[in-house]
This record gives sequence, structure tokens and C-alpha cells, in this order.
Amino acid sequence: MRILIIEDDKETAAFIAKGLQESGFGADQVHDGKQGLVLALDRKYEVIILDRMLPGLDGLTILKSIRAVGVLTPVLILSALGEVDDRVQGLKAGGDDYLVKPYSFAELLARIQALLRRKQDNKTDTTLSLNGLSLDLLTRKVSRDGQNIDLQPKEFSLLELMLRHKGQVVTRTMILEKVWDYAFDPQTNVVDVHISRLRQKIDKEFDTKLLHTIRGAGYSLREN
Amino acid sequence: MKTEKIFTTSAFKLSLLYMCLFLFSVLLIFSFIYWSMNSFMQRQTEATIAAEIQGLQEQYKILGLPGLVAIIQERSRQKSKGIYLLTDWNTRPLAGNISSWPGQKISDSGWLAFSLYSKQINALARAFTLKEQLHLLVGRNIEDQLQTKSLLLKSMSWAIGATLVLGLVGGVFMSRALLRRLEKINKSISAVRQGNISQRLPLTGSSWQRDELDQLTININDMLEQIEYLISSIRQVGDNIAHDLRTPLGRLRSRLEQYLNESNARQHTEILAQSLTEIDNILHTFNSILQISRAEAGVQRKNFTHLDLKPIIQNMFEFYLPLAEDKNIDLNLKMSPQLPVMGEANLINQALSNILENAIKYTPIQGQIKLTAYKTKNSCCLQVADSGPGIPDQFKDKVLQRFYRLEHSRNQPGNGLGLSLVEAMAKLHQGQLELQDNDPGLIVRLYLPSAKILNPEGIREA
Repeated sequence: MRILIIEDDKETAAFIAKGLQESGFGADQVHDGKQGLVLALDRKYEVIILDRMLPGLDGLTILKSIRAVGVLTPVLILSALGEVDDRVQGLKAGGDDYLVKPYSFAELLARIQALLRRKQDNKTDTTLSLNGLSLDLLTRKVSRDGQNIDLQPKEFSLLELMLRHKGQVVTRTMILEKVWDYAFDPQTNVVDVHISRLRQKIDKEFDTKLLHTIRGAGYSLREN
Repeated sequence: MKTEKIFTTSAFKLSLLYMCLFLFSVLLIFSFIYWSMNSFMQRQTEATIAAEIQGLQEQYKILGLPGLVAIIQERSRQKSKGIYLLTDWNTRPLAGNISSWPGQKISDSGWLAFSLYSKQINALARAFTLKEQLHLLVGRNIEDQLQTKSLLLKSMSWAIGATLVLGLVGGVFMSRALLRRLEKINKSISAVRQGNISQRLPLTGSSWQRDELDQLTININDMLEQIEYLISSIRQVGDNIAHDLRTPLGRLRSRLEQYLNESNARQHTEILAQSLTEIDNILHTFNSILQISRAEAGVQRKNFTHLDLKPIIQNMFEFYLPLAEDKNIDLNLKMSPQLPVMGEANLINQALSNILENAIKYTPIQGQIKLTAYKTKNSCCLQVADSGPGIPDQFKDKVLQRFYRLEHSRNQPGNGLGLSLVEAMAKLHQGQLELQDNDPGLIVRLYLPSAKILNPEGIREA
């Protein structure tokens, strides 16, 4: 699996490439927009990491060009511009995710995993499940090992998110964005408390614990 | 002041236009007066002549030719304006007060106008032929009428000429006055652009004399006021950044320095973890400062949309409920049915988050926080009332300043920017932030102006 990094700061690009390689991906780095465009159109990548502010060709222009010729590779936009407006612009131009600098590498990795998973996602699935835990999108019912679990609406959305990304790391920022549509950073550990509540409901009475905290990164719904 | 400038001002052009219109109307009126007077005088003369002829006819009927001659001679002797001439068939004068038959052609109606004594006297007369083949001319000296008419024409011309000159002069003076005022305004603005931001433009006279230029001046002054405030805010931000970020940066530096000197590997991890946390704090502070500055500059206003506060507040309430419950704080919510505002959801969320986090942070265990949202006459109000220590009156203004922390909360996490951001956000939405005592505790009220929204039936309601 190869990932293309289009980032003009050489140190940042190298840092990301190293991190990705250590996580099992192949990474190509370019520091110029035009070169990036050429590579994106020439080779097949799983994900493209695109910096917005580039010399030569502006990031969003590259993105629009890529989409215009029908390249559907998921693109994760990196940017120092973090206003809601900027985010909307980036996603409208064809981006799949938007990460504001500075970010933790764990965040970047988690989002890349999420983008890869999204590709394989079968959108017509009406049930999400993991090891006896089952969530029905139509009836809005949740059960584990046949036992019905009562969830509040936001708890349901949170579990849905975790199940859609089962096995992967889901960061607090991702939870804030996707479950609450919040783009700000609360100073308190609110998300942790919500996860605890969910954990109480789906894990407490069962032997196998599914909802794990991944230190320094976020949370993950997995079997071990 | 250049002369060409005067002629290009709108004031001059306007006065020129007024003058032309006025001249045109005056010309119209004068023409009418002249024409009326002319036809009146003409008719009068003709009537008088007709009356004369009538009289002469009677005489002729009664007394025949000798009687006519006699009366002509008698009337000629009188010093009136009448002109009479009786001639034979060879135009040899028989009686009358002019010497010869005028050379002019006689028009079909029998009227003719002629002049005597080399144009010194003008007359209007009627000529006919009597049955003995005698020619009779009856007329009137209309010299004085002609003089009156020419006098009238002369005065009218003078009047029009004077209007023209006065109009031009008036126009020039008006333009000069206007130009002078505008020059003053331009000079003041130049001074401001050169850096003297505290300069204000002068207004004319007392408040009841205010005109549109004064209104413009007032608006420019208000704008200068705002620019001055923004500039001083930016300066203040710079100072605050310098003062309050040097501390955590200093701490960070010391820690990393310690790391380099530390030989114990376990301590290394500890120090690095702390450093990372410190960096995150600094970044958060930076973001808050940036947010506040942007909110104060009003940049986001152009993206405002219609929002209903109800779902926004409901979500925020559900978001913080677990956190409150963990501290055994009773957090409850009461809302009015409709709370429409114009704004940006993200900013409002951020502000609400700040207010609620403060409330939860400072309310002790088993305390109470009441969240209410209601409508006032023109605004929607979100109220958060907690049972914490509250804020003493003398600090209520200070806590809205950037980086201000009350003594007892200096050890709590936070950077002192929370309320500054809420205030900046309130102002951006043209709303207001209020702090009040809850005895015990603090009441925070966020007012946002109501917007009109459409309900499902498409009916507008405020």
C-alpha cells in the first residue's frame, strides 16, 4: 500500500514518511505541487496526503485537477488554515478529510486508516457488529449476545462510529467531528467521559472487553 | 484651490442646472407677458380706430361730405394721437393732419402700418374709399406703445442677464464653500493615514444644523474610533502574547534542558510527556487568541446563516451532562420553543462550551447548574446559573480581559481566555455578555439578537 505525501516542508514530509513506513505503508514524498500532480495522475496510491500551501501549484488547485480527471484516491488535506470556512472549501474541492496543523502523528495515522476503511465500506449494510455486539441502523436497536442495550441517541452515534472503524484507532478529534459536529477543542476530558459511559453499557457485564483506550491516540473497538 | 476644480464640483453643476431651468421658466413667462401686452395694445388701438371710424361714418351719413371734412379738420386740430387724411381720387389731401398718403401697400383687410417723418413716428391706420372716390385714412400714433414695448424688452433682457450672472456667481460661491468643507475632511483623513489615528474630523455648528456632509463626517469619525480600538487591541494582544506565553515557553525550555542533563531514562519519558502537554497548552492558547482576534475583526460575519439555537443548546447540554454527573452536579435544561438567530454554529458552540466548562469547573461537587434559554423582546438569551464561588463585583469586568485569572483559580487548568472569547463572539454576533451574582454562584447570560425565521407553514414569525 503506497501513500503519496505532497508537502513542501522537507522535515515534515520526512517525518510523516518515516512514521508511515513504520506503520507498514510505503511512502513517496514530493515537495512541489506540480511534481505532486504528475505523480498523483501517473501512479496508483491508496491515500494522498496534500498540504494546502504549496509552492508552484496551490493544494486545492491540484485537488480539483485530480478530481476533474476522475482520480478517486482518498485525499487528506493538511493545513495551517483551520477556520470552518477553510475546512468547507477543502472538502468542497474534493478532499475527503481535513487535518489542521499541528497534529499528532497518531491522529494522522488514525485518519488515514479511516479513509482506507471507508473505501471498503459497504454502504448498504444495515447492521454493524463485532463479536456478539450488534447495532441495527434501521431499528436503532443495540444488543450484545442477545441482551438488549439501551443507548441514548449520541451514545448510539458514538457506537456506530466505533463499529464502522472497528479494529482501528478513533481519535477524540474524530469523535468530536463525527458524532457532535464540533470543530473546537474542549479543554476538559468530556469525550473520555462519554466513552466511559458507553463502555459501562456495552462492556461492563461481559467477559470480553471490546472498547479499549489507546494511550496517546484515542479509542478502539476491537476484540483483544 | 484650483479654479478648474470649482467647475467640476457637483455643487456647481447643480447650480448651473438650476439656473438653466430658472432661466427657461423666466423666458417663458416673459414671452407670455410680452405677447399678452403686445396683443392687448394692438387690440386697443384697433378698437379705438374702429370707434373713430364709427363716429366719422355717422357724421358722413348725417352731414355728408362737408360734415366729414369739418369733423376731420376739427379732430386734426386737437392734439390727440389720431391720424386723419382725406384725399381725392388722385390722393391730393383735402383734410387731415398728415401731409401725404403713405406709400405702403394696403392690406386686404384695409389695415396698414406706416411711419411718418422718416420713421420718427409710427402709426397704424385703416384706409378706405368713399363712394365719391375719395380716400380716407383713419389711424393712431402708436409711437408711445412701441416705446413701451422696447422698454419692456430691454428690462427683460437685463433681468435675464442679471439672473445668468448671479446664477454663475452664486454657483461659484456654493462650490467654493462645499470644496472648502471637503478639503477639510480630506486633510483630516490624510493626517489619519499618516499615523495620527486619534484625530477626528470637525463638525459644523450646533446639532440642529447637521446636514448630510456632517452625517458623513460622523460616520467617518465612528469608523476611525473603531479602527483605533482594533489597532489598540492588536497591540494589546501582542503584549499579552509576549507576557503570558513566555512563561509556559520558558517552562518548556527548562524541562527540555533538564532532559538533556538527566541521566535517568525513566525521567526522560516523563519530561518529554510533560513537554508535549505544555506545547499543546501553548497551541491551545494561540488558537484562542487567534479566534478572539478574528472575532473582533468581524471577519466571519459574512458567513452567518439562520440558526435555531434549540438543537445547538440541546446538543451541548447532552455533551456536558456526563461530565457534570461525574461530579454529582445537577445539570438541568429548560428552553423556549423557538430561538432563531443569525450566526455561525461553530462559534456559538465554542462560546457555549466555554461557559459550560467554566460552570462545571468551578461548581463544587453536588452543586447545581441551571441552563435556561428564553426569548426577550429582541434577543435570544442563554443563561447558565451555577452554585460555585461566583465572581466578586469588582472583578466582573476584569475577567473578560484576556489572560485574566482570579487569584483562587490560578491553580486550575485554563489560560484565562475563555470569557474573552465568549465576549468577542457575542460582540461579533452583535449580542452581549452579562455576568451577575447568583448568591451563591455566578449567572452568565449570553444575548444574541433574534432573527426572523419561517416555520413549516412558511409564515414569518419573530
